[in-house]
Amino acid sequence: MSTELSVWVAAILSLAMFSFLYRENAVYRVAEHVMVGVGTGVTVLLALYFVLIPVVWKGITAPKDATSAAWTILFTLLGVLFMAPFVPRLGWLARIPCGIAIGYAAGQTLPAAIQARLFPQALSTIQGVGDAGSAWAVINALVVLVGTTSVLVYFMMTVRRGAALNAVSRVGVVFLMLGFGAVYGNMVISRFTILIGRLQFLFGEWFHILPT
Amino acid sequence: MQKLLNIDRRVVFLGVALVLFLGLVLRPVIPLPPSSEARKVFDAVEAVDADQAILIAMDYGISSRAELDPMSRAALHHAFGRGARVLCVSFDSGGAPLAESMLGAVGLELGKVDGVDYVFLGYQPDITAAIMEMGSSIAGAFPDVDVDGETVPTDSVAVMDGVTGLADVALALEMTGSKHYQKWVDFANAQFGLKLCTGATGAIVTGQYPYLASGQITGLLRSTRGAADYETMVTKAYGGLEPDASSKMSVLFLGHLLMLAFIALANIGHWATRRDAQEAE
Repeated sequence: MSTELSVWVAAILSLAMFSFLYRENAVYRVAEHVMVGVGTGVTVLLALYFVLIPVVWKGITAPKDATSAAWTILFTLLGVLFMAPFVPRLGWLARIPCGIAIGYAAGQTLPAAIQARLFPQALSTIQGVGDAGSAWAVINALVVLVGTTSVLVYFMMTVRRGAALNAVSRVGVVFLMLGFGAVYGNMVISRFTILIGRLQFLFGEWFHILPT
Repeated sequence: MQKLLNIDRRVVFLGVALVLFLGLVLRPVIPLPPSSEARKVFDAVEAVDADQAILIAMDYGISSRAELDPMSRAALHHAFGRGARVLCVSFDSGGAPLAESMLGAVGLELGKVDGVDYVFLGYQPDITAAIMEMGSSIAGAFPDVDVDGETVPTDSVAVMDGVTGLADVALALEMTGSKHYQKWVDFANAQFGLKLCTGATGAIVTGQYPYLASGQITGLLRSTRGAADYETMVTKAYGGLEPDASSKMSVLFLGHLLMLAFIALANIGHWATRRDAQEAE
């Protein structure tokens, strides 16, 4: 059995979390609160050491030039305005940084989404059939083309659906179900891996009973 | 048959725990050929010449470690095995210390020198802004780095010689369990032409296949299977890598068999009770 204190703490907290599988209990809630507290503490420390000190504090006290100091002060003040709702009378001020943040994010994301997702993905779906080398690749590309088209038809809500569109839409539902199945299957792999990792830790690092 | 639909969930949990425990103890060996997408990752790293820079982004926290740590470790071994210079970064607040610690440990294990053969660039909270800045200046996004416990300007470390922006990086490997990979595709790949491979957890990997098909992602490591494939290829080519994901694969296989058995049982129970109900009508 391990003699390291950190291993014991981790093992006991893991067991406390697993106890939820039997039923909700106080030990689980304690472990849950520890996890939330530690997570918050780490996030605050990271914000302090990776943002507040190097970007804000050094940006103001030891700037590269006067312009960079002015930008840092301006955006720090805008950031402070996010806390305005704590003073109800000044709550409206938070809309200024919110508006800037939303505008910035939309302006940044939209062209990238068109350049990196819409056009390349549409082209890849269409060109796949023509570019396919082997017979198997052609079949694969056709499946992708039919799947993409039928799923898009399924989500066309603004046109009156006739018999033909309904039929294509039903094919789209089949592809959606296959897609959800693939997501679920991968999710199972993911969760099992986490559980295996924990069991390896408990029986390996803690109890030392697994073969090495 | 109704009993099959009313199995206590704790019996299911106990069954899963027992099967996985037996798998860990018995360690059945199930040989699997490397998947084509994992082979593409291996080939992409093999195409990097000695002294070129590889960027490894470990954008994941503690909850994704079981799946992604083996990939990151194998990628570090592979990159160091090629003699490439390794730049490491993390855009996950909880993952940054873990990434730095793994880079240091693997570097030490392989006799590599901090600041000369590798460097941990650090963590930035805004991934989009950081990647945009890295496009033209990596040192602009990460002005200072810690080398052997001392904070120095990023430009001054030897590993950054000749590396200014993302155009000077031969390949990026993005390991993530979140949507961070989209930022790498949207900005690093689409805008700066950075060659990109990804490693993903099972929860998000399905969304990455369209990018693989379109060529925006060169290679893809799919959860534990991808990690095991890559680990096996790196071990075969360079050695010195402890099996981690590979040791989980056979246990995972047994877990999957159990899941299939549970799904089959539940469907039999459902089918039988529906038939009984129809007969009663």
